[in-house]
Amino acid sequence: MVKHKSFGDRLFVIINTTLLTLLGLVFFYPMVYQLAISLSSAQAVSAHKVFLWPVDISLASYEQVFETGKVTRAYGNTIYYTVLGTIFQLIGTTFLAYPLSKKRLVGRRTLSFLFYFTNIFNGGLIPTFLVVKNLGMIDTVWALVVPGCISVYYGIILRTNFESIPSDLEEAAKIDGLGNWGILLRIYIPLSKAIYAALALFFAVGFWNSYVQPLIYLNDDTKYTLQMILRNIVLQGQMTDIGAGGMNEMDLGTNTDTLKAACIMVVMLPVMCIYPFIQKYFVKGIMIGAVKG
Amino acid sequence: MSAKILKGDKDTSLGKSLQRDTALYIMLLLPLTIAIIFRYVPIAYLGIAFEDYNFVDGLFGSEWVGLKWFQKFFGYRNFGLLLTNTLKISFSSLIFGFPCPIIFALMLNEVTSNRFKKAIQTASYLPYFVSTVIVIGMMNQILSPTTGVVNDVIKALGGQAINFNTEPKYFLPMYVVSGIWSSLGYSSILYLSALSGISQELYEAAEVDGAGRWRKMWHITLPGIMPTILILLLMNLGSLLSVGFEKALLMQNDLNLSASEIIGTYVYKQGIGRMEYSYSAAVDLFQGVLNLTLVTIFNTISKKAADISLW
Repeated sequence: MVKHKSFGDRLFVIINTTLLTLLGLVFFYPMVYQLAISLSSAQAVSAHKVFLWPVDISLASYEQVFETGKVTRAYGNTIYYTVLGTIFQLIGTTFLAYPLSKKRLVGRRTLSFLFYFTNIFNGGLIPTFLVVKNLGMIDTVWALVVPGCISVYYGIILRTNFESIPSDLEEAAKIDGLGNWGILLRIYIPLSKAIYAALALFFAVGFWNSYVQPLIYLNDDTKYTLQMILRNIVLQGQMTDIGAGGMNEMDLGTNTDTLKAACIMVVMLPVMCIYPFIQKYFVKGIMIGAVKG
Repeated sequence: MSAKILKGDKDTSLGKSLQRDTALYIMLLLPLTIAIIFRYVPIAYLGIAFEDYNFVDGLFGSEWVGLKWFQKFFGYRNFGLLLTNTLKISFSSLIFGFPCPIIFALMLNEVTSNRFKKAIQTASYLPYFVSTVIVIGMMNQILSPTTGVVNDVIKALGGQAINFNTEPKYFLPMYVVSGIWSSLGYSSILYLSALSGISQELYEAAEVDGAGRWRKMWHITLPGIMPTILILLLMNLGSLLSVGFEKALLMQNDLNLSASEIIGTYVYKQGIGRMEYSYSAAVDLFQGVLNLTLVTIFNTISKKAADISLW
């Protein structure tokens, strides 16, 4: 339907498009800026020459970030926690959501409420910390992975998804001799690939980006995660963690700014690489939650 | 209840259900154990807020001290400051942060080119995946008094460089704006999905009646997404004070403490840092009760006014 467009209408479209374009740049630009700084020479950065594209491209900052091995070790730790944590959380949330999606299950409502209540009220930081401590989990991966392995919020989303799968499929599978485990593994999970992709993304990013949990439960600095190291370097300026702070940088063509930017890029890289591929599942994941809400 | 049970499974006794679906109950054992140990046992541990807890005597052996720790907190010279800072951060984030995704979704809704819309949307989700540590790191960089872009502009315009990080008065705006940057795109998804559910016929009918862009927005679009707005507002109010202390802790330094110290960071420092478990648990419990009170008040209001309720 082609309509006559008034001057005011055209003006609105122009302003709206301009504002949205600017906003789009605001979302994107900080990361591009860090990338440009991390790839530039210290001289160019100090002279305020870097805005969008790297000037005097060099990988010196990246080389220096990995020099002391601290970042490499934290990388290994973080990958370990993230992979283990995501698997645990996917299993825990499935075991929570699948049985509760069966309306025939006696005690379903009571159990659902028992889980839902933990979302409204819980003991808080210190009591939870004491329980974990008394179980001897401090400084182990279990402190990060076990307490958080059931997600009630995503459990509700997953349950809604399971409920939307026609029960005829289950009946047919039963006739074919499949038990509850077989039905879950061979029918329900394969039919829920999209939501599992979204959950895996949420869980993995959650573990990768978490700062407070590792800070509370890990004291041994050989077990530190990337976000902890990053906080020390970028926010506290502890450049010695990456072997900087002496005359070293002058020769290498790096400085505090390029090193901090390189650290940020190194930590952000995996998330930014995965994001474009799982982006569509991400939106789907929130939408499924919205249907429920 | 019984009407919902599948045909053929008329028996509603727990014994029969256990027999029929043993595997389902076995699955539930894992989340149930986790919930009991890490969610319900900590609630019992809240008892330490009323005793002088030490590891040797444990939860049941430590001396009962009643409201001593609560009195200590109410008598703490910075009690008022902590409370105002906490309320300020929570309410400012809500007041400035809540309308932004709605406006953003409405702006996107007016875009006719699908490719442009998609590109802006995709960009807007990106910040949600950036960790708090990196958000603060990038913000510090951009606002740095020596190398930051913002101060470059201020200096070019003939102004004095501002040290945003160490001035307490800039803490709140920095906290709120970076929060909007992080969550704007993510929060707009729900509004966009509500917008796509509004019938096109309504718009066409309005056009026939001669309604312009603004009148359509006011009389069709806004009422169309109002239920979503209200429920999300209520949910946001519900978690008003339970926002994490992660960001405040990361933005904190010795110079901006008068604005950045909130109840959450105080609990963390007293509890984890100084091992004052009983005192910090009491402070945390105070915040929890305050939050629960606020939620109940908001919930009652919205139930009466708009018939929308969280429970």
